[in-house]
Amino acid sequence: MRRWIRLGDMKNLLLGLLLLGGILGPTTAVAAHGGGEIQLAFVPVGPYKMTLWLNPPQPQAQQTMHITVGLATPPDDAPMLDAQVEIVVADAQNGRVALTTAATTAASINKLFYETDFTLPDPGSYRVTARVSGPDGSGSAEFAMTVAPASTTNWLLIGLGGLGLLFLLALVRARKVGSELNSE
Amino acid sequence: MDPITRAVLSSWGWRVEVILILLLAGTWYTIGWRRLRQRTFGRKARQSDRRQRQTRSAWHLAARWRLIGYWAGLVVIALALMSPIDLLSGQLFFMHMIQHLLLIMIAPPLLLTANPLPFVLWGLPHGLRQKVGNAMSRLLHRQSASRRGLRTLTTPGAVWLFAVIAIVGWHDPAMYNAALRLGWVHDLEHLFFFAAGMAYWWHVTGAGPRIHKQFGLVGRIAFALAAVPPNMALGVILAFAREVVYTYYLSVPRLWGISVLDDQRIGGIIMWIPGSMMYILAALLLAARLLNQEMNKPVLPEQAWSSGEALIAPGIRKR
Repeated sequence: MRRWIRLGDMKNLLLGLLLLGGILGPTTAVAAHGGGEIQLAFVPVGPYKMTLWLNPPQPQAQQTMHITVGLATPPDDAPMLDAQVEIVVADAQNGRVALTTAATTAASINKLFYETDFTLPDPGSYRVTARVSGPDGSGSAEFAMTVAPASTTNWLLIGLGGLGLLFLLALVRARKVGSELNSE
Repeated sequence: MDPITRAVLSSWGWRVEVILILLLAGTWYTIGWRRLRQRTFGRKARQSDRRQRQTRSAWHLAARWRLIGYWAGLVVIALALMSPIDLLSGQLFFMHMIQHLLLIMIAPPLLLTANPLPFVLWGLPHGLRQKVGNAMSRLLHRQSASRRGLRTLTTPGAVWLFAVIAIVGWHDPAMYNAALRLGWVHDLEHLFFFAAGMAYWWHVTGAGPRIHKQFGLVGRIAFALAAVPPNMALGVILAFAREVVYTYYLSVPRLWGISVLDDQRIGGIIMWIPGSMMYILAALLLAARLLNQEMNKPVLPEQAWSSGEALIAPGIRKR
């Protein structure tokens, strides 16, 4: 019988991969970073300018959404840190408020920004309003957001399951080839 | 301290996955280093071996500076990815350049001068170490296809080209702005830079596994200096640009009164001067090592150079 892979080769490959993991361990750490799509870019909000990021850019129902707000004070556009920022999400059709949440610098990693997390139970079209109130005045700005239905497919789970299955198949095959070699 | 500086200094993005991976890598290396050091200087080492090795311990495989260097490399990665440098990279272009400099030019040479391969091997349990060692010697055997493939992919020319494409390509305004907008593109950018840095410094430092033809000290000096022109050119272009190249920064709050254009100029200068300096410094260190080697060559016996048959006059040899 022709063997598609020798047991020794597969072991070598696995061990080689293990070693590579050890040497390149720091490399995997490098891939860790946040992000977000700008929805409002330096729009005037009362006496301030506001930039707002939404992450993920195409949100889904029942998924955690993240909003980051940057406030700047003209003329030098320095960060404004003493304001209260409120995020109001309302149904675009009937105007009914779906949720209200406060974005704060305390909740943010970058203390120059105001951040908040929230989840919407239902898909649909929404209007997101960011209300700002600071020592120099107050104002608001809004943008439209479409929330897709919650995904019923968990791609991460499927991917991990697939990898596990491949590994299991390889293990079974290796054991089979190993027992064949031993019997010879 | 003004509130903005205080906010900046308290902006640390602790990431469990980064901390765990770095700690794991550091612990693994340290275990291997300790084992190799015990074998070199410990009870098991013979007295004569120990004395001989202690005399040249500064360059010994398990020298302390290697352990310090490796941990320093990991700390640099941690600083680049979790300190305010990372969080400010979305607001200040020059901070982003500092982050890239740490990932391309500081962390890789620190990790690779520590020569991680033998220590990672010795960090494994005995049985597994032997298996991994055997697997490696098969994978990297002179006749093996995997070695030939790896060699072809990582020739100095290919690595230089990859590094130039990575650095220049990711500084294209469309790519750069995309990296700032999308997290996964930013991750990819960091991976490219770190991989390019590791591949480049692998040749410069001569760390294991050594699968290429003998790349002498002179060659390594030339290779280190070959990184300077593309890096410098990009830095000069950005430092003297009259318009904002990376428009993303036009829509974020400004820090300490630094305008977007000034920020871009500072970033260009950082890329141009400290960026190039790292490679020049590496070339100088290698040159110093080359000179040291020359000085440490054994002196010729006097009769070999002072006999009447050998010399016409002091310094001029008979042919």
